[in-house]
Amino acid sequence: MSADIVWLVLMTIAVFACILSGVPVLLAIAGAPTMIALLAASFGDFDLVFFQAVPQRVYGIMTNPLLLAVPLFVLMGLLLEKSRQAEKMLKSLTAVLGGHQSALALSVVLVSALIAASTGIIGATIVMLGTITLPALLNAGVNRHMSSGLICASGTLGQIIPPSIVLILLGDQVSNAYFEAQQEAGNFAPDPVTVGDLFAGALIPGLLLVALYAAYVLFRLRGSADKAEGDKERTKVTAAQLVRDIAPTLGLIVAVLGSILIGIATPTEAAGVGVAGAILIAAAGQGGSAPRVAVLCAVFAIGMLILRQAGVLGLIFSEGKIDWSLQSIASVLATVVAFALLLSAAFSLISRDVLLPAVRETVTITGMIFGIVIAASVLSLVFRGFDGDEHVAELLQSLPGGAYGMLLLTMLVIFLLGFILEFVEIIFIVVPIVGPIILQSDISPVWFAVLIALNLQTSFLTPPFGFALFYFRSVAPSDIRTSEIYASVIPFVAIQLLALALVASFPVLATWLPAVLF
Amino acid sequence: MRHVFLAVRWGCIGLTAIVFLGQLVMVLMRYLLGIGFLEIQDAVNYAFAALVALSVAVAFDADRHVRVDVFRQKMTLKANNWIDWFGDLMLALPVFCLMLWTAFPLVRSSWAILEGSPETGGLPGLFIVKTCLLILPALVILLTLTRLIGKLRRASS
Repeated sequence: MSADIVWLVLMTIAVFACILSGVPVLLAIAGAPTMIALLAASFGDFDLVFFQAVPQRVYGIMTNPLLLAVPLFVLMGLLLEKSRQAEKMLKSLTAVLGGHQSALALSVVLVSALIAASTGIIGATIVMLGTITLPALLNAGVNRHMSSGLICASGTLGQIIPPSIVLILLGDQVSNAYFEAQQEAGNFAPDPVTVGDLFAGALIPGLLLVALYAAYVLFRLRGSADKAEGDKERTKVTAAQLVRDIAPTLGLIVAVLGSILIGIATPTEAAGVGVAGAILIAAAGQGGSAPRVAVLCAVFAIGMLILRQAGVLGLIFSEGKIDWSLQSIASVLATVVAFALLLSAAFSLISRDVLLPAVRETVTITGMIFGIVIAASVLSLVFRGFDGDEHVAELLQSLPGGAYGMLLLTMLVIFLLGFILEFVEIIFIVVPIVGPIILQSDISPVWFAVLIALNLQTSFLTPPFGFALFYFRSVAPSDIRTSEIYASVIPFVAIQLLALALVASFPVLATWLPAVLF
Repeated sequence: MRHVFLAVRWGCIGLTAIVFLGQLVMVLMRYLLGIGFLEIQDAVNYAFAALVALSVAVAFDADRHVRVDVFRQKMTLKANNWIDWFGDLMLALPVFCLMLWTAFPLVRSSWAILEGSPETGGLPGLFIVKTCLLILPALVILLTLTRLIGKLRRASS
């Protein structure tokens, strides 16, 4: 019993030492516990039989239908990035707004929210915002503090605004933890927690953050003079051009998110459609005949959906068999045409060297994410082998304040872990350990998940270790000092904490929308 | 070794394509025609399962797994080389050897019955997908060993 605790402490130290040594995190969180377990086994303190569950766990991850949406959403984001769609949106917006400081800053917040919703990868968003909007903001006379802070903060929105990969992974882990907790508490038929629930739950807190950022920006830049008279000739972009640049991406996001929230489509289905939409948008931005094919395909597909709703399209069944009437044949032909149009748009992207790099990158990012997921399952097995779950339960239950005391400690630990680990590691290590205990109380799993997501996002923004700051540092010009970047995000960290406090004290912010929708 | 991983990488690209196209075909058929095929669903699931296992090995080969480089940036190249050596020998090899060892009975029993889809009327060939549980550790062990041997050779020459 006490030997277990010694081994657990040793394991924790070993894991952190390995992580900080700079070996791939995957090796640190799978390898260090394995070595400790082997060592403990030689003292007779660990039963190696636990390792027999590893392949079964890995196989469970491979066949988890929920996680199927992850590579698809990654691909969708990468397609929009590689086809420079987000860049186009930002450029035309900055051009139209010219030198109006507050309007420009506001558009950075709004476009980031939009990009965030489409990619959900903070590194990519910040690098892009930094390279495109930083010069524009500085030109317009927004000071360096404001610009840096704004970009770092806006870049992290992708974590919280659905559809985000953080929320998909959280959905998987929280629903498992919730099920386990409710079984333990004697409720054998708990309502399942879905990714859709989390998307709906995070939407209002995410928009709240955007609103708070916007309010702060307007407040700080109030009464600022419009500089940049010399840049007048740049505003050649017309409103029509602006609509053309923004409307497709906006439409795609609304369609993907909307179909999940309304409950028509599963996240995986919506992600598949999202990739198709991203291919069309990317093709529309190319030269040659590709844009026409893309528009044709989009119009055709939407038209078919309307016809389907009207009952004109679709297979006719009689007695459980397909009746090959005229309508059935026409429907199949129309579907094949839509699919063929999409394929031809995709081929035009292959020849323009957009699609293959995006897919190749998707493979490595998928490998990165699942490598950590698999490693975390090894860690949690060893942790259980040392009865770590029981020890943590004892520790948490000895805290004052009941479930809320546990929640507070968990949030603190997650915040600190956010300094050295990425969200995937944290979600897959912490939630399975504390979730089954905390969720035994009447704490809403959706609220719990949204708090974790907000907390992680704040952690990534907090100096000196926030990931967002490292990414921004890599693109910011060297005359912006690192200490300046640190100082610049402090107001935004304060806003984050305010939002976190608001959601913490009014759980209804997170739980209202899912309750209404589902 | 190069060729092996190049093939695995292209395999992963193909699997991603199957996941996306299969998913899209299912959506089109469900929402436009009102029909579904279990076989396509299974194909997508199989492709995804294999993609998960193989992409982890690809990311290893490309050295794209996440590292925390707070200290790494400050240390000398030599120190970092030593750390990588340690990581390969003491962390990667034990983990993936154990995985290879423990996965073997699982895969063998799957091959013994030529396991198919758990759904009735689904696709056969699940045992091939399960074999990825052996391919992943085998690839990583192979990669690690070539790296270690390369380093030993350079050190001795």
